[in-house]
Amino acid sequence: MSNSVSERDSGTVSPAAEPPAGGLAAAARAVLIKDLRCELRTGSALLTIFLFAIVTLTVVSWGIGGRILEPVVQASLLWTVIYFASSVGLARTFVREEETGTILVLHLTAEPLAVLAGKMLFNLLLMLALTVLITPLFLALLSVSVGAPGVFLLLLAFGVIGLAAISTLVAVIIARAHLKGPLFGVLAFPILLPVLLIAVRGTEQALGGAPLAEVSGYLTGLAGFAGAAITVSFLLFPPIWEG
Amino acid sequence: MSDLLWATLTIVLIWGGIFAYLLGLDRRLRRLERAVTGTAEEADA
Amino acid sequence: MRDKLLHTVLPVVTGIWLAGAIVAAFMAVPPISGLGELGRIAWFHIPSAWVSVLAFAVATVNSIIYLARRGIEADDRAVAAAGLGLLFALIATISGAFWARRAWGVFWNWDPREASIVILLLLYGAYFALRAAIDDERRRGVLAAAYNIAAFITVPYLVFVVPRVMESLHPDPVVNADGSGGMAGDMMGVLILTTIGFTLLFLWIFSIAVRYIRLRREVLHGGAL
Repeated sequence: MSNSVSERDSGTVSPAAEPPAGGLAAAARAVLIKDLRCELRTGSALLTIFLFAIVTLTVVSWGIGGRILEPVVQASLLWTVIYFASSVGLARTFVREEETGTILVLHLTAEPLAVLAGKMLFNLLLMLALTVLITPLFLALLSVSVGAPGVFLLLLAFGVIGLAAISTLVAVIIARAHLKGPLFGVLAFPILLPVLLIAVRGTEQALGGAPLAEVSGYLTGLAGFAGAAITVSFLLFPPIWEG
Repeated sequence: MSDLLWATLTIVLIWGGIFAYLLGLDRRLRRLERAVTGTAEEADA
Repeated sequence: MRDKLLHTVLPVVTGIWLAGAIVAAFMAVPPISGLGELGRIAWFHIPSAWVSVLAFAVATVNSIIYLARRGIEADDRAVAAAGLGLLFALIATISGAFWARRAWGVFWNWDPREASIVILLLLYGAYFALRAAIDDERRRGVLAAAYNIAAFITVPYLVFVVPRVMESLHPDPVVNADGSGGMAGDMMGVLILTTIGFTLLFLWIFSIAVRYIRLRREVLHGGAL
């Protein structure tokens, strides 16, 4: 955490003092880098959710055999795998802090919004990494033909951003309540259902080769949701964090 | 009396029952509220 | 004055209004074409769904107030509204299933509106699951309020987007689900009557629920009223 302290403009080390505007981005980056470093050392988060996604994918494609599924079913399965992976892996960022006691350090040395920004970015990177890894496997195992690749990728990106944003917010709520895993799914799933519905329908169109114009409605919906989720998270985080 | 009339009367009666129940809750709440305020005033006195 | 309004005027008006609305629903309009008498359940199913969303909004507003001011009364109101929202969402789901059985032959087929009401049910359930898991009053209030507000993001999607997104797969658009494809002016009138009646009912039960929650809190914690 010494990086974040030395990057502050003020000469003295004052906990949670008002940092200058540039300090927020720097502090967020510091939180992110800390988490990334932990992750790179152990690789546990990405490994866990990637393995979980592989298992899910295997279970799904095993029964299918060599059959080619309809695009809507393929899309549905892809997002199921991604969602399950997120429900397993994204709560950890805050829960681990509570468990190891470093939550107090975070409270003292970083401004709330910086913590949120750092954590959310970490979750987003994690989910994007997972998606990049699991999607090719998915395409191969289920013999999926992607009609409109660009649109397909856009839908994946926007959907995953919304997923990561809401999951981060729910993770904070769970962590501050000292609760455990199962409640994370209970809380996150209903909020994410509309995202999943839109993502699946849109992805179905993309697999079928629909042009950007036809899918723009879905993209707007997903982008709107992601924007709202991020905004609301930033508004709600200070009261949740300070408790 | 037609079937429709019977059905209507039944539903209205059911609503009447719910209404009476809610009214009862209201009355009981009011009594309890007065009792609690009364106790608080006694304690202040 | 406000007391008189709440304790006398509201109950009386609600009682008479709903009684009249029930009579109107059964006797003032013919059944929706092709659906028989059971189709009349629509006049009560739709207002139930409306109230469940209204309750959600009331709860969310109070959650915002609670986070801003931290007065426990706002949390009481949020809980009361959420509880009623859950109740009316259940009523809407069950009545909708019976309507679907009559109209389409099956109790459930993941019609867009059905999907939306299920999501609403899950959100309410999650809210109460969260509250049940936290003992500290203040922390419970803050976290539940935060979840409520976050969950409200879905409402525009449930009301507007989901029906449009899922419509493309279903031959029966939402319009027919409401029966408004064959809805004459009279039927719309009945619908408005029952909707206002249900809203009044919500307001009345809401006021009772808030008083009950408050009383329970006062008695259990021995605070001043």
